Amino acid sequence: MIYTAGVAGTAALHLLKTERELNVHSVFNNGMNLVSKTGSLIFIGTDKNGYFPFGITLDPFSTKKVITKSRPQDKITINRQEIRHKDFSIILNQVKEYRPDFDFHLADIGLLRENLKQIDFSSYADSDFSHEKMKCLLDGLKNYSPELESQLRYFIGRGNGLTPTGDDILTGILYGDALNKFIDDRSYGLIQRLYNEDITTLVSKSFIQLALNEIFSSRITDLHHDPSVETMNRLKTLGSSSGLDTLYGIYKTLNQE
Amino acid sequence: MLYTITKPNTYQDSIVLMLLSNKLNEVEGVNKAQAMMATPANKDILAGGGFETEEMRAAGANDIVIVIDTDDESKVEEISVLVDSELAGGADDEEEVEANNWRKALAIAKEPNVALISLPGQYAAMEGMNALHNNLNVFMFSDNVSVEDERKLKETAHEKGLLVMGPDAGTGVINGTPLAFTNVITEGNIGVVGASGTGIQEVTTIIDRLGGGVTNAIGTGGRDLNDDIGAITMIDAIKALNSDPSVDVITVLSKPSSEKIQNKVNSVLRSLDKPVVVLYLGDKPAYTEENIFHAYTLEEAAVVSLQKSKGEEVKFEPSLKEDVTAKFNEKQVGIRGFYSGGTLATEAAMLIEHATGEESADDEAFVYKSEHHQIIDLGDDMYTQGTPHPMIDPANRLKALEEAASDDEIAVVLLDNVLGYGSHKNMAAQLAPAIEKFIATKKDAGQEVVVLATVVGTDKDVQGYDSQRRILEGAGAVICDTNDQMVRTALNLIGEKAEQPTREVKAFDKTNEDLTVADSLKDLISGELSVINIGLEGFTEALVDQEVDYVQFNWRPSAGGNEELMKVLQFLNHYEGDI
Repeated sequence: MIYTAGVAGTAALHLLKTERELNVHSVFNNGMNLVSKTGSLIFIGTDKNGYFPFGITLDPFSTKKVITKSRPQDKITINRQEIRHKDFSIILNQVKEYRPDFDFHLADIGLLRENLKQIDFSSYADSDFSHEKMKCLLDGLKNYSPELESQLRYFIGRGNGLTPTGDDILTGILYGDALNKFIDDRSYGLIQRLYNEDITTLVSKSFIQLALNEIFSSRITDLHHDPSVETMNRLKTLGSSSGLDTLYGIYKTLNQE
Repeated sequence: MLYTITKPNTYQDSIVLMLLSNKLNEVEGVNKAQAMMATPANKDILAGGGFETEEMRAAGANDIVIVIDTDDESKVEEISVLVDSELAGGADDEEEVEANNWRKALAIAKEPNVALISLPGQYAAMEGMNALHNNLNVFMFSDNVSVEDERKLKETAHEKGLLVMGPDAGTGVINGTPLAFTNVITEGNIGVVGASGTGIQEVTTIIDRLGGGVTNAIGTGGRDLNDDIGAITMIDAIKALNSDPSVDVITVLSKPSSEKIQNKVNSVLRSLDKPVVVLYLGDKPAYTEENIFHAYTLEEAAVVSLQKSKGEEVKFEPSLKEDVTAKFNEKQVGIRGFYSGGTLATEAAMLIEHATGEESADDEAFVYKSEHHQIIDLGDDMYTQGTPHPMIDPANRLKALEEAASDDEIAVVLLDNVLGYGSHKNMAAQLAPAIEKFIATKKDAGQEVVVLATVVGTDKDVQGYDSQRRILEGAGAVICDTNDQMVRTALNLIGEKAEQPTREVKAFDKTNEDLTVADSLKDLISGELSVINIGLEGFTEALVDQEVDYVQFNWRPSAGGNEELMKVLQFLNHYEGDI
């Protein structure tokens, strides 16, 4: 069976140009991950959670078929505009490219900060990601404090799911930083180094590595075009808590004391 | 005692893992349990919660690790099974849409009204009859159904106020929903009924591209107008479209049939008040009627249907691509058509024969083979034994193009690319390199050739109408808007012309046929569609896209596939007398 991809992120298209062979890494509800020998990731699945820089979207019917036929470790070959598995092909000839959105300067930070106050973050107060923990991390990132590495190791990979909560919060912090720079250059280097270790899921790793280059998924970048509560609520629906975790990271970053 | 289960490279949503942990903690004999992604940070949490084990520490960041504290080692196996089922179960909370017998299919389907059957021919008739007994209309994609079975099915359907579309029905649009090999067409006030698949596709897509719409295009199957069948489906479908107030024009497409059947169909058409366009493709119509326009080609049928649907004056001027030129040598006098659509091949054969006067030799490998010209339908049974249809698999056409390179008589090649559900998702890209190579090889041999191509589709088809045209054009093909235009362009290139027939207007008395229609048929063409798909699962793609309720019936032959025994069971299942 042949399926047609709808939208593909720039990072995914780049990987398809440079790789000839991938493997199925994991298969889950909304799609699956393919991984290269060097650990780069492509997500193939529905656009339920918006568009990702390393994502390729299929319609729900095709996604269901593709994930039914795929098992971890299955070999995938890349042939120009075709992703080929032994039981199906995904063709990219009609694919629309999802390009990174770098229009951070368009953001109305005041309104964003104001509207974020309408989101309920009370569940974090007594969690592993309390106000105090967040303050220490943000201060550490800003001043490159000696404790930063242990603080980052505490956050990275902490929590369950495809993207643990600690990583999602860090994505939010990096987005907040893209809007309003505050992180010390040495802190970026440290984040980069830690994420090269296998201390979180491959999906989180892919998100953070792109976020360090100011590349985010569409549900996040929508915020600098429309900082309304509706846009935030759309981001909130991402994953079971990923969207809210990201918003929490942005909220804390933009409201630093 | 702590036990560890690791699920390598497995992801689940955090909610699923939380619920899983809760569930494991409720298992009798389990003191406590925790499931987490095994990242270092989470391993610290597990260790802090008293779940420190060697296996847990060894698990990687992309693994799910489950640590269980229990005094009963036998619980580990129980938990392992539970984990597997929970992780699998969490992946699918959709409604049940699959069945493996009629009872279950009917139970889970939502008020089903159509059975879409694509089983091998010998089983299709049997299941078609089962569908009719369950008051379902039948859309039968399967071929190789005997004429006797077809008649029995259609007579039963007629008695029950149902419709049998097919056998060998490739195309259908029912109340806006495309079935099988069908394009996505804008809905509108033209109703189509046709005994030819690609004929329906060509006409409905032209209507769509010209701004009109078709809500119902009912395929009857190619043999419906044979004497043995008597146009049962055609006539019931015409009456159903006539009863639908949203239909302003009825378009009827068929190959020519016997005078008796043609008169039977025409008699029904002459009792209608709605305007009608009829095409018996292959005939040169000698007359037309006030209320019934007798068309010559598919494009003319489409254009006139649209004009009538808008109440405009009927006017059709055939067109051709005039800016196409080539210098052929004296040997290059032939047209070769390598078609995937049978009706399009028939139309090409008709126009070439009428224009050149060259009679066709009797050769079943060709739709038309004259002294200089050849038209092949690569979708014909003789080319598809053991290989997929050329709308799905380009292999036979690629081979034909390769072989054509050494045919010195060729001046013009004709190709069709039929889009829509069921068809290859990018046939143009498959054909393009072969077209380029064919033209280049001919050039190297000092010959100019023209490759003409037509794309049957709409801008709503998944393949992308414009992009398919662009890909073919990029390979050097000249793109024609319709098959009619393509064949006329080919004829023009070799110095021939297909004249439009002159048709006098004849008046016939209005007939007085019984036009009553069963409510079930009215419901079929204007109500909600709900389908039981028996056979090829790929046909559910269109249904999912169009958000139509369906159940996939994963059919297996009963009685171990013993056909005689199956027939006995079938007889007993429907026997109404005493045993």
